[in-house]
Amino acid sequence: MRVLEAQHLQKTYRYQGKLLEAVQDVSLKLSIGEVLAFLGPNGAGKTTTIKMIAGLILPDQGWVNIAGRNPHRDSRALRSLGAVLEGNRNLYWRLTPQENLEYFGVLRGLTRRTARQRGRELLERFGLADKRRSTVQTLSRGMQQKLAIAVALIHNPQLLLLDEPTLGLDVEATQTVKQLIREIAAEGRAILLTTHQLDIAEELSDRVAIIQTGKIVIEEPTAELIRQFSGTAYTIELEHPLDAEKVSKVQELGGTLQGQLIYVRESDELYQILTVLRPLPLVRIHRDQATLTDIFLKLVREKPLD
Amino acid sequence: MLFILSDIAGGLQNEAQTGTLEQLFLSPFNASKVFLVRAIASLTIQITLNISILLIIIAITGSQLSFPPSLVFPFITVLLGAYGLAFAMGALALLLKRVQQLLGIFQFALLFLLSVPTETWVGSGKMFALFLPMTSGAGLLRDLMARGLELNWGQWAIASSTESSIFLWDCSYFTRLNAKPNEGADWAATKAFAPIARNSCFI
Repeated sequence: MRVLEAQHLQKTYRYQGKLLEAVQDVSLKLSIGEVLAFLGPNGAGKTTTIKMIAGLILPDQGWVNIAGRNPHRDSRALRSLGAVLEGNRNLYWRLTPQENLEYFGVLRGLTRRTARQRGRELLERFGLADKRRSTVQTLSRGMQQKLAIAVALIHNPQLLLLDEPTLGLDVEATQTVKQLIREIAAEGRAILLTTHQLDIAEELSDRVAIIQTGKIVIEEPTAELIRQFSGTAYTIELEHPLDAEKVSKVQELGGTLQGQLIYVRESDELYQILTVLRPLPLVRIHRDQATLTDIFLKLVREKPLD
Repeated sequence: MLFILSDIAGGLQNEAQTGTLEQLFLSPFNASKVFLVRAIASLTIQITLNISILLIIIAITGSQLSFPPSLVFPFITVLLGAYGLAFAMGALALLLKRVQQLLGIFQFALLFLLSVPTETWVGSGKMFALFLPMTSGAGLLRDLMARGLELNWGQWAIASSTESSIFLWDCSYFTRLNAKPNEGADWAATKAFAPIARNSCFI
């Protein structure tokens, strides 16, 4: 089921006397349980697009549909939307986690009783129950970010917008937030994620959309995108160096040696070389695979900023 | 009045920086209603606190102030002007991001407007004072509370029209900003601000 559909979004604004096309003809779709990594360099138009989707910025052209409703025309669309946007965690620092959850719960249309009950459940689930009565400013950054995500989920939205959810977090907190995002998606929510940490995007996303100077340059399923940009070469890592006879045979078959590593260009050659190597102990064999970082840099450099 | 300025302008700036302002606009409720309720709650607390402090001061100093029911009218008039100016400063806070120093200086201007005894001025000075925000209303309050005079309805009508004009000008200005968001330094901020400005029309 489609939760988000944004079509032909366009936004132009005036900056220092010049017209800047912040977003040009951007279309995005997102279904239940899907995580879309929305990537791009600084100033590419990610935040403007997200704010147009959230109904905070009116697009010059195009439309947004969240669970069948346009957030710019029908405020009921916002009942299906939760968001952790840029800024300092989107929380009231002098309130406690419980108070923040209650306040934003009522603001999202829940009764106070339901907001309190759901707030308690979320605090339990996110491991913040013992911090329920501490003020937000005394919590660690990781806890604050978990709380911000909990607040965004207080009204049980179908779509979650996460703008840089792991920014400034340490390794442990990043792992926790990643796990939470996986769980939230597995519950059947659609997640639109922006991040500059491309390894995280690669790990969490089902699809990737890359925006550059306001235009989507590619949108593909993550695995497909990586496959497209990956080569057919393999690397074999040996436990011990090869003797001269085997080196010669490997080179005859097209392998290239560098220390205890053998580089093989095609899969056909791989099995012939493995026959030569038998029964020597191997450390590992892996296919050379592009990372999302490689792909991102390639696409962004192909189309540099105007 | 100083509280209203710091509450509205400072509050908007803080909320914009922490990201809670955008969260308020992600509510299915009309943002105007949210800000109206918040403004009423905040004003109620501050009026209670200020009246308590005023009563303590009266008790300690032995000063005499009268509280005739008619003071409600100039009081509302002054509040209108204060909210108009506070929303204008709030807009600046959102557009320019950091206006803390400016807010500090502006407080002195507010103190001047509230304390300058224009009700004792004569001639062209008195005419000029009619167009200053909050000044005429504050003068009427002094007449009622400190001098024990009756409310001058004619002067109140002039003060009301001045404060209402300032207030409505703010409303229309920010509505216009919202209609032409591209012309702002930060169109997101103006988009966020316009409903607040519209809300101020209800107060």
